[in-house]
Amino acid sequence: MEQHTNSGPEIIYDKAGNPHEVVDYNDDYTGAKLGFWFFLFTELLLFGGMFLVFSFYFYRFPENFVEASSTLNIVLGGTNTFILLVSTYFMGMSLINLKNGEISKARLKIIITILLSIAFLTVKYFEWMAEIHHGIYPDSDILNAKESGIILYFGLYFTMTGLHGVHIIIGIALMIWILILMSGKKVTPTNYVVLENVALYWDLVHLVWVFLFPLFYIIGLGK
Amino acid sequence: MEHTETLTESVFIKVFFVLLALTILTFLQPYFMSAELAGTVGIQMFIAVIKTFIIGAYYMHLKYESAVFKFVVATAVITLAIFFIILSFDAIYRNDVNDFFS
Amino acid sequence: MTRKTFYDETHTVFGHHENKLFQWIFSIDHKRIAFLYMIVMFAFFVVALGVALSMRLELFFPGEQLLTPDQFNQAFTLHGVIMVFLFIIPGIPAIFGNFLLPLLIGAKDVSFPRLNLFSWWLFLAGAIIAIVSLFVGDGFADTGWTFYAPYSVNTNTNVLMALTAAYILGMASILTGLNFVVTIHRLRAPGMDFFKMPLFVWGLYSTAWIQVLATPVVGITLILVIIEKTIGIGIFDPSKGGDPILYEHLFWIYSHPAVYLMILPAFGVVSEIVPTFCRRTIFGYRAIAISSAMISIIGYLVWGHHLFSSGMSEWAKVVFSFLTFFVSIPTGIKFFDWIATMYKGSIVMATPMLWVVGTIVTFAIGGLTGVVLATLGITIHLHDTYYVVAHFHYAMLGGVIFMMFAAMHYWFPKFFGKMYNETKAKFAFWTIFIGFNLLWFPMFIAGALGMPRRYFDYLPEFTIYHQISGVGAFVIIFGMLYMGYNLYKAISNGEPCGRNPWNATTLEWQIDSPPLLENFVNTPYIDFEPYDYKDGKPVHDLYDEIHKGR
Repeated sequence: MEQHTNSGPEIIYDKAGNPHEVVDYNDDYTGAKLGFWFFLFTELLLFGGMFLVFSFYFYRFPENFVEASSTLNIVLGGTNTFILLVSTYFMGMSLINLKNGEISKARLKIIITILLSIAFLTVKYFEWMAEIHHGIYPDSDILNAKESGIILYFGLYFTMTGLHGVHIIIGIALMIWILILMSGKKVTPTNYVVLENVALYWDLVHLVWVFLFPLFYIIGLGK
Repeated sequence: MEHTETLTESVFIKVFFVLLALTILTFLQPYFMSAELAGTVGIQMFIAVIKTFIIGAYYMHLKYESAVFKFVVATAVITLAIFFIILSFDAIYRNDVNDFFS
Repeated sequence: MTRKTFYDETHTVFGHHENKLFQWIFSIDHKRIAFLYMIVMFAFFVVALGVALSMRLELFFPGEQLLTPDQFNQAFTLHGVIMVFLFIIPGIPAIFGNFLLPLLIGAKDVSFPRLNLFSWWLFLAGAIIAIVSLFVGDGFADTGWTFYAPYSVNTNTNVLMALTAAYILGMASILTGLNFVVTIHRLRAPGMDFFKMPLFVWGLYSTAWIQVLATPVVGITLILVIIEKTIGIGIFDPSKGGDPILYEHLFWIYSHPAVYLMILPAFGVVSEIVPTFCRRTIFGYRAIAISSAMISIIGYLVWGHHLFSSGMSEWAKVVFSFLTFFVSIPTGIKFFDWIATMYKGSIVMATPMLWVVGTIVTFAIGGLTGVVLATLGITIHLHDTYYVVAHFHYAMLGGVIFMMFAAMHYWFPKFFGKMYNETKAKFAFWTIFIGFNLLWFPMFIAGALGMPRRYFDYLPEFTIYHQISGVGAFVIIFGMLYMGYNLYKAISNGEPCGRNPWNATTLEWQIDSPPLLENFVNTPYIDFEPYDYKDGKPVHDLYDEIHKGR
């Protein structure tokens, strides 16, 4: 990248002599955040599309969905819900720490978030293994022998929690990248938009789970 | 240009406890409210939407952002809502007899 | 004094290069990126034209000529995939949006130049995957560019590769849209509020919103088909309770807004050309600006009109038919305003204006036949016939691509600093216009008489229509090649022309042709509306202010 000799922002004047600052695309905090929000929408629409499919089939096969939901492990699912909620707390706090200049506290909180995310994935792994050991996985003979609604429920279960899990993995990679940037002083208490955007990403990942969890786990609770 | 810091540590912690309480509520709801499926789904989605507003406003900082951000978020959410609403016309009435124009 | 233009120097993403090729393919200058898109897109356009010609030749007589039935299915799929995903959706925004957006708003580049280059590389990757799928395994997909389930799940042709390619191309589109929206929000020159932006920028803005909001839905749809093909989750498989119509809903939730993505920049081009060649302010600036946003919004509500005969509920059909009628209104407003601008203007019938007038004719036909198809009683008869094929080619070719040709002729002097041969350009227009109507108009009639689309063979009574179309195909392709040749020659041999040969008013004409690397030496302050003419001449000339101190 070319080096810019930063002589400050460009100022131009209107006919009345008032100064106006020209936004520099190389140094645009608001633009960086706005751009990332637009990216978050694409994620919202991506998962939104999946929820459209889920709602469609839930409407069609409500009893099957409830029955299948009751076979899921609420303890594991619930644990993951709390893990994720706590992780967004740490992620958000790390940004507040960084803005206050407390760099090592910020770093610690990001590391905690990474560990919590790994815990989430581990719990998910055990959940999946439990289903697979019962012969419940897409296109398995046992699953194909069940009613349509149950087949679709588990198809959606693996797809949606799988897609969500991929986003958690990407989140972990992003957090590691942030730690590297912080060591290299590229992310600092005055230049933190990258961390802010990663925190926003993490909040979106949490939001998806906020809807995913009740629809997959709670509908079959107590039945 | 940095705006003055408006999201403080104490607000952040308070929001966390509100979210925690709401999450616990979602677990308890099916037990102390024996609602039918539609009721359960309705309440759960309602709680999820409230959580979304809280997370969006505070954790995702929207409350403190300029109008452009709020407009952009609202547009995306409304678009998704429109897809749900229009698709529901087909989902709900698919198996009805097509005798509108007979 | 020869100033260095963007051809002479550039910024690259990986640091300095000696190699000229690297200076182009790693350049983060929006103007060079426009060229990169142009080269790849036109190459694929020619391929898709070749595929189309092979289909027209096959259909010249009943029976099998040069394509087997399976190859015919692959041919219309390939033609559709290339034309839709590789040419017309990137289309005007990728070439003219990239080059002109910063110039039109007084900016030095887009908000995220490196992301812009990354979009192009994604585009290239998707294109390569699509082409590779032609040559491996069972060959290119044979499902139609719409990839309807359950056939797309069950067929053995390279659907997985085509879907992967389409997904990657979708990502490129999303990132470009994101870039443009943020650029328009953040980098407008001081003083230029939203209602002082040129109308092409309004078109790009509305388009960019659609790119960001609609594309992810087709992204997830394609992913679901990929997952369905690989692990069989069952969501589009009727034997497992899945619903193929749901696939169609999800696919068209994107693909209908996609056609607005195609036409809105084209409408923007018309709004740029008309005031220039009528030498007066455009009629109804605000109405045209807001109608772009309205088309973008209402366009999200009408997707079901692609599903009328698939088995949706009656209620859904009524809702979609009603909403589809509605979406024609903002377009009508634009047409009215353009014609009102031309009325009693002093019209200069240069090539760009000729293309605009041609489009007003052909797109009007395309749009009106769309309204016919939106009528529930008629659509049952016309769905999946040549009537539909003629409708969307009148709209896409006669609307979007004609305007791409108009844009090529209008902004050619800005890109190259030279002018093309006007007589040859006009001859090319007439050849293309006549060939176009010969090719597509008979299809309205054939379709109404019952000729189905995507059919490899037909009953003898349809032969005459196919043969007229076949002749039209040759005429239009000859015209396009002639037009391309004329422009290509002008790049090296054209008459040098000044920075504003059309006496236009917008900002891109107030800087050099070709532009400098950083576009504007000094950013101008904008306190006036675009298209400000007085007595047929532009009111504002900011050239000196922009280049002060250089």
